[in-house]
Amino acid sequence: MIPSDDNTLELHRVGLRYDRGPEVLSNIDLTLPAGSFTFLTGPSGAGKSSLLKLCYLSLMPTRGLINLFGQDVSTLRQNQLQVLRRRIGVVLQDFRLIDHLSVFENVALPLRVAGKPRDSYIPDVTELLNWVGLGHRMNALPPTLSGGEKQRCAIARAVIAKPDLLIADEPTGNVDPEIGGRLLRLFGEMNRMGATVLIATHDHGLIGEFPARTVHLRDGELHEGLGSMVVA
Amino acid sequence: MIEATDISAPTPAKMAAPQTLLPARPEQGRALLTVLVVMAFLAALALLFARGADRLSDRWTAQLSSSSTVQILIMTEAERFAQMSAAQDILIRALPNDARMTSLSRAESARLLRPWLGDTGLPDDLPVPGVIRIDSEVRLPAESLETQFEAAGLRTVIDDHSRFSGQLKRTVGRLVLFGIVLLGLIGLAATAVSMFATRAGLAAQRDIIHVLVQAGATDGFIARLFVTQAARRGFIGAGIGAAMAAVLWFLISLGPARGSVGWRGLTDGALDGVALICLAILFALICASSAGWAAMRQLAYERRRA
Ligand SMILES: Nc1ncnc2c1ncn2[C@@H]1O[C@H](COP(=O)(O)OP(=O)(O)OP(=O)(O)O)[C@@H](O)[C@H]1O
Ligand SMILES: [Mg+2]
Repeated sequence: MIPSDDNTLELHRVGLRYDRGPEVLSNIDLTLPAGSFTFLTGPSGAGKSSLLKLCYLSLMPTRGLINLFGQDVSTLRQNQLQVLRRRIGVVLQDFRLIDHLSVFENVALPLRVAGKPRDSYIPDVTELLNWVGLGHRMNALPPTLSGGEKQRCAIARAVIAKPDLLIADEPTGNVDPEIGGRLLRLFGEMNRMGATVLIATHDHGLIGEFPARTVHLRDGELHEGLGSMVVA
Repeated sequence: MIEATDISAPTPAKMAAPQTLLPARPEQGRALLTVLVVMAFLAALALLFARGADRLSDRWTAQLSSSSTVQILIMTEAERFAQMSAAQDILIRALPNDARMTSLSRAESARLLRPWLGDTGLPDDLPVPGVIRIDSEVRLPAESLETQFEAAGLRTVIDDHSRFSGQLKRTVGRLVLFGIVLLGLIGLAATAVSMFATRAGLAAQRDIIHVLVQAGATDGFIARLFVTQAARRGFIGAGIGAAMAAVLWFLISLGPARGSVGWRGLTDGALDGVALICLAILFALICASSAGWAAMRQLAYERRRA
């Protein structure tokens, strides 16, 4: 179905340390085939967020090789990296919404950065906001949103540009199970449309509800397929 | 699936124009704008004074160089008439037709000596130099006249004011140069202020920059945000500063120092206005380009450090 060399993301023997600290990640080998859906689990402090940062190019590894969309990221210049970043949608634990911009503008941001004309995206953004249940809060500013609303706003921003790779760090931490389920279905929908999805989560209910490949991170090393069984 | 309340259209008015990605920070913005206004005001005054001084020197030197005098140092009063006629003949031959020549009488010439000799009546036989005033657009051919006077056995002193007008020109030239240096210094200060503000802005908006970078914004895209902001601020600052200078300049031109701004008519006033507009545009350009440069540099620097 998908050729084996058509991987969205490949990490080979990747290691990461912050400044002069100990290695937070060591010898990580991870391959995300195009169109795959993967959960990343692990105890707090195991390095899940750090691993995701490497995947969405917020950090560069201290050793090892990262291939993203078939390109060795260490060889790319800044503007080439930015082209890759536009193909990644990210939802972070702390949302990173821009406080002085309305919900609409926050969600439209990736399209604006990509230089899309404004008229072309107003209907899409409006539709997506309605879909995640923020249609009535479109002109609100993020500080006035509830935690769950912020999260939905962040998720809408991550998916608006139809990214090829969707990465989420605890995306359902702040929402009730019903909305959490709906957000997960949104990720599933994106996945069906071709996006590769990688989600870090503690929420084993979520994993149970949506059976998919699960990788488990412990003591800076990655273990395939054990996540739900070991920790559940 | 979706609650009914969710399906509400956004207010079209708010959708029409995109919000600016950098927040307006009114307090910092106002302080910065004040600095820019003051700098633009000083720059505009320097420019106007330089232009005024230049115009005045042009006008004075034009007046000076269009008039000159020839003194004939007569030997004895008896020879006055003959020597004056000889000098006049030479001058008439040497000068263009439209030159105006006025020979002063002995009494008039004597009056010119009063500052030196006092009010005492001069003895009738004291040879008072003869004075011929010449008004002409064309410069006096002083050297050839001197040789001709000499050949005719006349002792003369030709004063075409060239020494004085040369001095005036040099002084004003220095004033204008001073104005230009002042403009350059203010431009340098504007560059520094704009770069400083951009760096402060980048630091203050670090979170927003991170989001933009993650969304795929290039350095150029981010720098343009700061360029737009700096250009707008620079243009507003320069506009206010230049307008204030223009009002002051206009008041000076009306006041007791009338004429000191060197306006000869509406054209000069209009040209000063055009110069001010150019200055304001240049000022905004300086602010914008230094903001862009500072942003690009800072973004690259922070990446290298990360
Ligand atoms: N910027 C940083 N500088 C230094 N150390 C860091 C930094 N970020 C994370 N760490 C350290 O790296 C380790 C892994 O952190 P990370 O945030 O990746 O864990 P996590 O698995 O996401 O945890 P959680 O489930 O609580 O979110 C931790 O020991 C943390 O203290
Ligand atoms: Mg984490």
